[in-house]
Amino acid sequence: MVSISAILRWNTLTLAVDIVMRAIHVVILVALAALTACDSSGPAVPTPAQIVMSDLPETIEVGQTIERISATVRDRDGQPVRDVTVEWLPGQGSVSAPTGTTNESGIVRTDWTVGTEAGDQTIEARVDGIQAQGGVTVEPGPLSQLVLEPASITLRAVGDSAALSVNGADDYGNQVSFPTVSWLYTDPDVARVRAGVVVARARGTTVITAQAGTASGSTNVVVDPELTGIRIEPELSAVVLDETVQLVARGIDARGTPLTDTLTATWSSSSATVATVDQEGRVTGKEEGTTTISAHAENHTAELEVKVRPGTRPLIAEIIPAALAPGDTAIIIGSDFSGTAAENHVAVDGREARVVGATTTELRVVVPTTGVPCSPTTDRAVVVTVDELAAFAQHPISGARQRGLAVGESITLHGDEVACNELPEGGEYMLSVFNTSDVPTARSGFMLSGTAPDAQAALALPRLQEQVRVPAPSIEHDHAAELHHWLLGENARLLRELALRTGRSRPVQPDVQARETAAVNVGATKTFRIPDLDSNGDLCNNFKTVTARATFVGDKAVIWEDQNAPLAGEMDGRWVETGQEYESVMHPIILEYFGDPQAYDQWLENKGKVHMLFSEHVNTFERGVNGFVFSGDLFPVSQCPQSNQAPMFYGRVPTVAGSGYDGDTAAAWAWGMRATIIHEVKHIVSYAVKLRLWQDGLSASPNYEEIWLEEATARLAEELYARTISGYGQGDNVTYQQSIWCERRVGDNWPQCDPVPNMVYKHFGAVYRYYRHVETLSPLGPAVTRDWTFYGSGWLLVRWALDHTQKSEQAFSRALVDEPATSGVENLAARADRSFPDILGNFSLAMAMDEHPSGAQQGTELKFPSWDTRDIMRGLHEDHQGTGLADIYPVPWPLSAREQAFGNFDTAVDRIQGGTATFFQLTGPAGQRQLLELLSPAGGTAAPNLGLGIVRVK
Amino acid sequence: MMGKLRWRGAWLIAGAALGVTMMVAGSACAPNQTTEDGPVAADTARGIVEIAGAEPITHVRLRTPDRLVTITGPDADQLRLAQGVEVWVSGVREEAGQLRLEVYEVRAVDGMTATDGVLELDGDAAVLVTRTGERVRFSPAPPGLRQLEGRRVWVAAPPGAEPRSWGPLERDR
Repeated sequence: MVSISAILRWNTLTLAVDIVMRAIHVVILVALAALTACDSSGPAVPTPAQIVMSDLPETIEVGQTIERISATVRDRDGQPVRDVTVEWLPGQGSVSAPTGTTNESGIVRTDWTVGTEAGDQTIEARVDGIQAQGGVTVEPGPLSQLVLEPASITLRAVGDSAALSVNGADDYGNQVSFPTVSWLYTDPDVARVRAGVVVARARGTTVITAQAGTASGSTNVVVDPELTGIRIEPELSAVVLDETVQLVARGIDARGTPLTDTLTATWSSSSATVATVDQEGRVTGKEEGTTTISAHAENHTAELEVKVRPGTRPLIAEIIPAALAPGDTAIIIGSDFSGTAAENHVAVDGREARVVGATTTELRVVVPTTGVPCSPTTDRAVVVTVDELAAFAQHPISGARQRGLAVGESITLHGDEVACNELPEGGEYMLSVFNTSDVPTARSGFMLSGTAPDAQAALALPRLQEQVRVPAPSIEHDHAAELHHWLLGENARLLRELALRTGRSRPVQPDVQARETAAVNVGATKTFRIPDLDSNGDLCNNFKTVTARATFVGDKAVIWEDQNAPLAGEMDGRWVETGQEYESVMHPIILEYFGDPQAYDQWLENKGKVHMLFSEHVNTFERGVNGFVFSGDLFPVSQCPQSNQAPMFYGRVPTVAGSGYDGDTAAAWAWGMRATIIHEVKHIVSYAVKLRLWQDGLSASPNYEEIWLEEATARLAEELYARTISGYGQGDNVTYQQSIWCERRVGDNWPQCDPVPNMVYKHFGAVYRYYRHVETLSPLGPAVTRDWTFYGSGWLLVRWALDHTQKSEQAFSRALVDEPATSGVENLAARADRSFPDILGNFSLAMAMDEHPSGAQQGTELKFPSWDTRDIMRGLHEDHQGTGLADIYPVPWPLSAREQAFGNFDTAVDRIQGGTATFFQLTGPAGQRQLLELLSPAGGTAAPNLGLGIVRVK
Repeated sequence: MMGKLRWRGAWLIAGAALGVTMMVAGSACAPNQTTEDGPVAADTARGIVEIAGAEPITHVRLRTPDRLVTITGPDADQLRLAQGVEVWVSGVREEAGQLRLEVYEVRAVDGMTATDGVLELDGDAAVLVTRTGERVRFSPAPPGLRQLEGRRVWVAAPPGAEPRSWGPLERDR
């Protein structure tokens, strides 16, 4: 301060300059005076009294970064404090800026990369002795490795076992849960994992690898049996004079299991005059009598009593077929057999085989089926014994059923047949494992176990296509187009009311007094009672009363418009079109394929017409239906006060005036409603026919169809309607372009399509979704909450059955409706003249094989002759790209298969629902065999409700 | 623990409901009564659960060997998850062909005997705690079943054995 004053005095300036400088001097002096005052007794400098950290996310994955964490520093008055240094102290991990200076708002920021250890982690912000702390739960990263313990296992006897644990970990070693693992083996003959336990099978070493997704881990297993005894093979009882027979000594382990290796033994005969034995184990008969042959090895001795006698030993020259399997009838050609079947004793792999025919040169035997382990084809002993003299041969024998298939050929198996099968040659196969339970919520898991003796030792890891990992749907959003058609809810409140209706005693007389006998003309008005779907009570006593005007009166239908509808009186032309379409197009379909909606009319108003009441009340019901039918309308008012005593349904109305499709216009309404009309009338037919059967005493009570089949056949009615509108027929293999493409295009821009309504678009929307989640959904009903895909998948199942029967579509579908006693799966199977497992097995293969690029399904049952489902799925995908529904159709082909190379594997599937399937695409090189076992998830006997379908693709 | 409480609670409610119903219904339920001072037996039936009708108005029924029994009551909705399952039901007969549900138990699925209870896990095993408190063990528990821990489920398998199939009797949580 002194120096500035001196400088000013030092300058000799002009007056003007002097004045200016003096002025500046004064300002500076004032400022300096003010500063001096502040330093001593002025207002206090803000000091940090509080530090607050911004909210952190509740969870984050290890190693991830939480960006822009902030700390706000305030003084004791709550005012921000600027320009103070805050220190960031992470408990784990690192921060982008360990220190920072607060800005004018008192805020400082940093990025925190959390540590790599899962669990709770904290970070602290500190300034001038005060601090704030924040915490986050750090979750493990994705599964990247499986750790098997112990890392190596040695087993000392065949059949011994050792526990094996599998732990999943992320990249940082944090424990991660994981789904069921698959197992792979370099040599599955040595050991396999069953129920989490390694079980020894034979001497040797193998590497066992667990795999879950892309993560894997291995353990080495050595099976080194401890020799506890020896035995002599074959167990001869007699040799012929002057004949020489080769014997071998073989070790047995602690469990009595013969070991595959032969031993070098010291051989001796108790009577060399009867028979001699050399040190190679060759026995020669010298004279009639009995001797004991001994073998000594590894401190163990085995003995075999042998009789020497005259005669001729039988001989096996050839065995047909080239490989034997359980249950096969084999022909053994040779010499010196007995012509009497009972005098020939045949053993196949040590098990007695039944001799069903015999000459001295040919035996016919049945390969035993019991006690045969599931094993791949290998050479095993065939022994024919005639009068104590045995003939020996080695022949390929399998413990599995041989499933030699030509390309395009298929087989479906269920019951005991699924357990053990062998594909005798390489190629490409599609397998379906299907659950024949008719309980849609039933679940069964399984393990598909493969053994391929010829497979290369290198592991062939199965590749699971991405779509299979789609989590099971629960309450995901439904197809947008379906929202208007289906209920979102479970109808709990309706249950009791409807049950009351179905349980009433049959009306013995029509309620004549309540009948209205006058003819209806256009313009007439009438009062109706609409069941109140939103009520909490009995629908017969909870209804909304409306007055409606007849807008169309035809021979078979009357259309009523609620007088309070938003567009009442403004769309008479639309009503007439709708009525005419019903009479000319829909009603004939209904009559031809399902039955008469007036089947119960004599007990009702008896006017021979279906009534369609359109009211805004239907729009406003919480359940969001397009239309519905109530069976109470088929009862007299004396039993159901709501009843309108007529076959009728209730539909929603448009609410927006004007042409075009902008909003809920009449045109948009028609797009969604037209197919719904035939859908609902089909329901009326079902109710009417079932009640008529009951009334006629043909059923003990109204045998209403199960919901899945009722809705599937209502969808069938819509499909038949679509044929008429779009011009295709049964067996036409209809493509996307021929069907849905136009259904999705309305308005002036698409004159070639307008006004094609929504007909099968919703069918395939549901099928697409079912395919994506095929393991966890079912055509037989809701498998999870709010699942409505069975409308589509159930329809496709019925469609497949229709297209693979000798009956006409009309006869088949009418018979479904006319059935008085059974329902659901039983009804469908009876109409199709085949068992449900047979239907489901072939249907599932058709799902995978329809229009398969290989063409292998041509001429078989493994396709949908009426629909090119592969093209339609692709069309749905492509046609929705760039729209708000693109994420519903993310791939061109939604049905995934687990890809698996021929080899040694155990692949587990946690669950498949009743009535559905899962798929494997199995590929192997030419000449290689593949054994397939279907087991429980733990390696036991598979659930009896599981079936196996196999088709050879290439 | 939750499962046990739920079971006990359900039975208390069911018992109370039955008692109240019987007191109110009186002689209307004549076939169900025993003696004046003895307990009043409920009607029972055994059959396959079916969901019939057309959306949105459907109903639960039981297909017995000789008849169809419509299941009513606020608890009838529980049976929707048991579609296709063979169950024993107990309740009050209301009208011809109707039974107001009070309790039910799964007896068989696809012809296989099944156990009905709340699922607990015990190491590798699944333990079903039945409504009578019996603990029925199945081992090993498949991964797909383990996911339903704490829920009422049915399991089809001989006790002690590995479950062949199973299903939930409570909705997704």
